[in-house]
Amino acid sequence: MNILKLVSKNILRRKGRFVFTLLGITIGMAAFVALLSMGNNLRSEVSHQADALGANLIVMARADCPFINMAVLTGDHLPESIPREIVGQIAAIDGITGAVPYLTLASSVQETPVTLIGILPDEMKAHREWSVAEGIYFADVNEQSIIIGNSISVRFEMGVGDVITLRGQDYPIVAVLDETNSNDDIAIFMPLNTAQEVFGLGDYVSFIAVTVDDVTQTDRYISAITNIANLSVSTNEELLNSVLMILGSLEITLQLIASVALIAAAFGIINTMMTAIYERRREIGILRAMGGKSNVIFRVFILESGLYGLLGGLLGFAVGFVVSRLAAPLIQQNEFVAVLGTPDTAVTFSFSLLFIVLGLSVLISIVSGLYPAFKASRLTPMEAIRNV
Amino acid sequence: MSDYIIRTQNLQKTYGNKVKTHALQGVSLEIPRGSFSCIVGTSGHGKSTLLQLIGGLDRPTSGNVFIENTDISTLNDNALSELRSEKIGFVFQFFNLLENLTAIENIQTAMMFKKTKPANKRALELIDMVGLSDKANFKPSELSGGQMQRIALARALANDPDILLMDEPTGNLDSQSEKDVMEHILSIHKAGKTIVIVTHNNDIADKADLIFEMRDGKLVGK
Repeated sequence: MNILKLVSKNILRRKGRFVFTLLGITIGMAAFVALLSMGNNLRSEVSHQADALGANLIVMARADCPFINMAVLTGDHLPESIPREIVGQIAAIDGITGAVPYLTLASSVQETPVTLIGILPDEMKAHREWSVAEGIYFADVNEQSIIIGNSISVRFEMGVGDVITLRGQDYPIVAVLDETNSNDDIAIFMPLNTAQEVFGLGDYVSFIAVTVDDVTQTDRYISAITNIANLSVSTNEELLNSVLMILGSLEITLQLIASVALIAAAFGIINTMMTAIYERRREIGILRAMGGKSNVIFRVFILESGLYGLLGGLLGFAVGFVVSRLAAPLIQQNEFVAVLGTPDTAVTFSFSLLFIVLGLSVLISIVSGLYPAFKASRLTPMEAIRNV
Repeated sequence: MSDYIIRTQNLQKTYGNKVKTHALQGVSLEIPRGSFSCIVGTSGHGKSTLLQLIGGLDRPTSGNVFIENTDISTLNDNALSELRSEKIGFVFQFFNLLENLTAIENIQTAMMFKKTKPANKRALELIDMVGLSDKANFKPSELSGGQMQRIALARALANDPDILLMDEPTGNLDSQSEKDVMEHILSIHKAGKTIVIVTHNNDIADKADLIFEMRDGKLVGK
């Protein structure tokens, strides 16, 4: 017999209470795992995509806040302030090696949001170093057809010969791109002219991806571009920071929800332990009468709390992991994620996350058990036995 | 070393703050090593309180309790716990076994506090001594009253204490179980243990070497 065995027998004595207390901390930790890991994963995906546009500078219309910039990138918002001729003027600046226009538009495939990008076929293929997995790449800048990213092909089981309907008109898929491991995999593409025509737009673009020959001269290029037109020019890092700012507010919300769940679980443990002490006064008295010191009683109740934390943390991690995996496809349907994330935004198993979760869960449980354990250890043998 | 293993000097115990109940009023007694003593008297006259103070389960309001030559009234909580685990075994009227543990685990739990080794072998010997080897893995709820009290006896002996304090050990048993338990208690006494029993039962008291009679918190006869 040892204290751990005594504690495990105590915990399992009242199975109903054990299960419900465990559920409290499990749900708390599951919420913590699911919400935070999804937030963190999104952050790492965004960071991974920092070079997704393959550009050194992004030229956009001036916006008051990062949310508008995001809406432009996702196609939710279409500024009409970058006329296409600006592209040529930027490309002509000395030291700029490429200026590739993007027209991002919100569309759908099989009722799932997908970003449609209007492109200049040849420039884009060279800029992104695309290769074709199936079919024949756009041969004409006015071609009335669509090319799809590799993940779109897999996810919607579509390929060359299938059609995508836009604004009531069917457009054939003429090619599927090779996998790029970037957001190109989860987008569909049309020639810029065709996209403008389909959506009834003027000759405008959403943003321009600019490449330069000397990244140390960024300030000079930005100055040259803004001299051409009143536009916002961001480095990749600046754009990333503005996206991360949005994610930051999302993460704070998720962290608050997870914190509330954890606090509720902590109070659940305090309540359970206080009830256990009341119910087990006789047992405490017996242990004390047999020679158990007050610190033994303290350890019994702290270990019991810690065990709840350990088991709750393990279960919470498992549940949170499964929930985040299940939720990932739903999150990917959000255009915001769709344009930024790679096809896999689900949480990946990580031992470091597991240890963090277990550590936090045990810590919260032990802290929650401190007061009840202290109360139990202060009981004298006769106080405990007399009240039976 | 004194011949008396237990001594009390002018022991007083008062319960309550506003309404005071004087449970013990100046009790002094001496119990020789290896003796079998009974504390008798009607209910509410301080017998159990005296036993609890002797066993260090509670502290006197004033006066002293000596176990061997140690004044346990002055010991701190940890030292008192150590003394209980090493020198004193308790048996209660309502058995006070831990319900979620088996019979043998109850005995082993007591050993946990003195770190008696090998605990398993000793627990098996004790359970065999009280004739319940076949019930070692039974929980208290699966045992009769007499069987539970025999397990409680074995538990009290777990750390091989010099003193056994028993509060109405047969008070909740049928006559056959009472007889069985008493036989075990007498054989434990013969093995050299000092036994102090609080009882109403004259048959038990008749077997004692010493009888202390309590009335109104005072010792009125020996």
